[in-house]
Amino acid sequence: MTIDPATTKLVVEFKHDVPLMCCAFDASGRFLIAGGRDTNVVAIETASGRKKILAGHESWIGIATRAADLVLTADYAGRVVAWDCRGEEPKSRWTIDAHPSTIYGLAAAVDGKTFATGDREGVVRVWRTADGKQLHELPRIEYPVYGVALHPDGKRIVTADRQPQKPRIKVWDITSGTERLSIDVAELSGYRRVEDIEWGGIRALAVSPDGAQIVACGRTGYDGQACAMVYDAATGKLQRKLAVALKGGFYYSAKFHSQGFLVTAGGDLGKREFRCWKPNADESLSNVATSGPCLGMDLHPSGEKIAVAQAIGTKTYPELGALAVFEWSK
Amino acid sequence: MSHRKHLLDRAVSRRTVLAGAALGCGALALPLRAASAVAPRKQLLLLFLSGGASQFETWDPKPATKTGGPYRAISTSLSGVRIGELLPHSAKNMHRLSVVRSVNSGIADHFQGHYAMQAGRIVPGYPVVGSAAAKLLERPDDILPGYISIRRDGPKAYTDVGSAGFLGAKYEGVRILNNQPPENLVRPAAVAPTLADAVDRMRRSANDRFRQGREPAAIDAYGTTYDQADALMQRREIFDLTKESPADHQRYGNHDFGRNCLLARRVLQSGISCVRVTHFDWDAHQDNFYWHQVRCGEFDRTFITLLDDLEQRGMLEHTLVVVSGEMGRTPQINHLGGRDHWGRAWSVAMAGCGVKPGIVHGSTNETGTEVKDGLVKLGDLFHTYLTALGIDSQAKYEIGGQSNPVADPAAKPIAAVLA
Repeated sequence: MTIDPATTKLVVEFKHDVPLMCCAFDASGRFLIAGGRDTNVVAIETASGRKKILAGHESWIGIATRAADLVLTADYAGRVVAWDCRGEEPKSRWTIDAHPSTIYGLAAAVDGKTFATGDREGVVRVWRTADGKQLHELPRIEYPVYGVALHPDGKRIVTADRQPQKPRIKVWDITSGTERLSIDVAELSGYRRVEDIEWGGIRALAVSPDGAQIVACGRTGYDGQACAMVYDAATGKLQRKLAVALKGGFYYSAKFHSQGFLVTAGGDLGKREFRCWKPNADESLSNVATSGPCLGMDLHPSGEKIAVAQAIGTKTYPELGALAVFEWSK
Repeated sequence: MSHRKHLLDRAVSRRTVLAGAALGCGALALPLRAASAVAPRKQLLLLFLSGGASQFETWDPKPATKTGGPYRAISTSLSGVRIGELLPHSAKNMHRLSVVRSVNSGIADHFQGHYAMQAGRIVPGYPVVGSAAAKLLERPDDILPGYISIRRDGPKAYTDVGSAGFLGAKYEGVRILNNQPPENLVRPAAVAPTLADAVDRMRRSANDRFRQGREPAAIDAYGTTYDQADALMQRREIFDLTKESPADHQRYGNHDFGRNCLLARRVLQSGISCVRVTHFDWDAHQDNFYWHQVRCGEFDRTFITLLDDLEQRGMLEHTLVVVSGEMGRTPQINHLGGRDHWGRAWSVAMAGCGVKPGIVHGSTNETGTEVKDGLVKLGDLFHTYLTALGIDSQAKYEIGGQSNPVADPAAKPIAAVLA
């Protein structure tokens, strides 16, 4: 089934009582699992709109991913919960305290059999999806790891850190922990000496289905544009800089669609969107404005829909969340 | 400290001051300091978290509430007391700290807050606590400046707000940037010592002639500046961090705040009355949780390392350590994941001389939006600092024919916190 990324319609929007930061469809596409600024997972049966609140986390839930027949959610206390969505409603299959601190990076392998986590202390671990058993740990990175991705070849893992002034993408051999490639992504730094803080940094990673490209997304500079940087995965050479006039806003997530185009999502209070790109062209294929900044995003397993997790509110302090599901024309 | 000893240390009652000068040559009738000539000098170390640290991520966590943010509260060495998980070293040392969780300064502005939290008043023109301590803890044979302010470069405009006010230039504080000593502390090689002495004699002579029949304050202030500069030239090794071991550098941390605190220890060891280390920037209007992870990571271990070192050297018993910023941060989390300015309910920590260890004073409500009990105003804190240093906070400056209370008469020391 081929879809047209230029034609999108909103299918449904689910409101929630806290800002939402992440979402993931389960393997069947029946459930949409989301989390945000509290300890509860929201599970929505998309067809009926039935909502279920699931306990199990200790802190805010910042990231979620689909992994084989599970959906994984990870929180700021270092906990990962695996949700089995094959029954009447999602149930926890296992829970692990994967890290002692905030998990910012979470990604599953293409086959879903393994997944990786990265935390605020720069620790990156690889796990077996079936039972949550740790398989590998990389040498510690000095800075918070905001993105991880498992390469389609099954041998490499990609990390993105928040080193001030020079956020880095690194490619590692999973088994040996050997660093294969390091790419400085200074374009996504928002460091200013006056505050001595990295305002920007790489906020998420994606690897193309063929493994040839790595995408890092964030913002160009202190008050720049939402941006995605596309690199050659073999050489680390910059291929393209995809930036839009979402001044002050970030791209918080990027994913490759199975048809080959790239989807980025993010924004700020004023401007928020998800956008489709050809990774080999400067102009985007389409963009869709959303109710609030998209802090998380996932593509439906069929490739026909996209869901975005948002923080919404009319004032500076958004106190609500929304999950919006859009459908592309076939 | 026993109650009796505490009273002895607070040797000063309300006093009048000898006629002084508007620019800071006012002298107290009796020096406002510990009575015993052999008692070690009381000292003040102010660790100023400029920009405003979040009380939720530090001393007053509210986990699992709408305002609490994502971080956990952790157990501490004080039974039943928990603080933010980003301060693990402080948590292990809570039995040494005195934390006030019920500050309502009413100020949510950097400039106002910097001044008021250091001057103990909102009304402008009063000396900040560093200058006040320099004045009130002064000894007759002091030649070094009484107040040193240490920070890194690249400040925001509000960083250096606050001054000696009517106490004048002598108590203004010497600013140290990036741990570099004040400029020109080394006499140029081309200037022979005999020539320098001759020039200095000529300057003094000119000052003496000019002083005749004139108000001496301005001349004396200039003279004081020269004398302090000369004293710093003689003691410039105070600012030489290369004299500290690599191990000490490592213990304090490879960051600006760590190096600044190591220098602060050296300065306190030199006998200077007050040192302020400005740690910035904490102004986390966006990405507050990452920001506090970074800043707390710098602050926490360094703070405890410094406390340990002061204690090991026998200095903590006569040094008051204050950890404060100009304000706290909002309970609400904004659209950028930040917290904004907030003065209604936040926290200050103390340790060392004159304060009870292992105390948590006051509390806020469940979501941290209001002070629940033990309300503390900014003037109360100023009184508390002075009292802990053995200074009568009810005393008055008598300068230039004007009488000014040392601390806000409408405020009072926090009795529950004082040793």
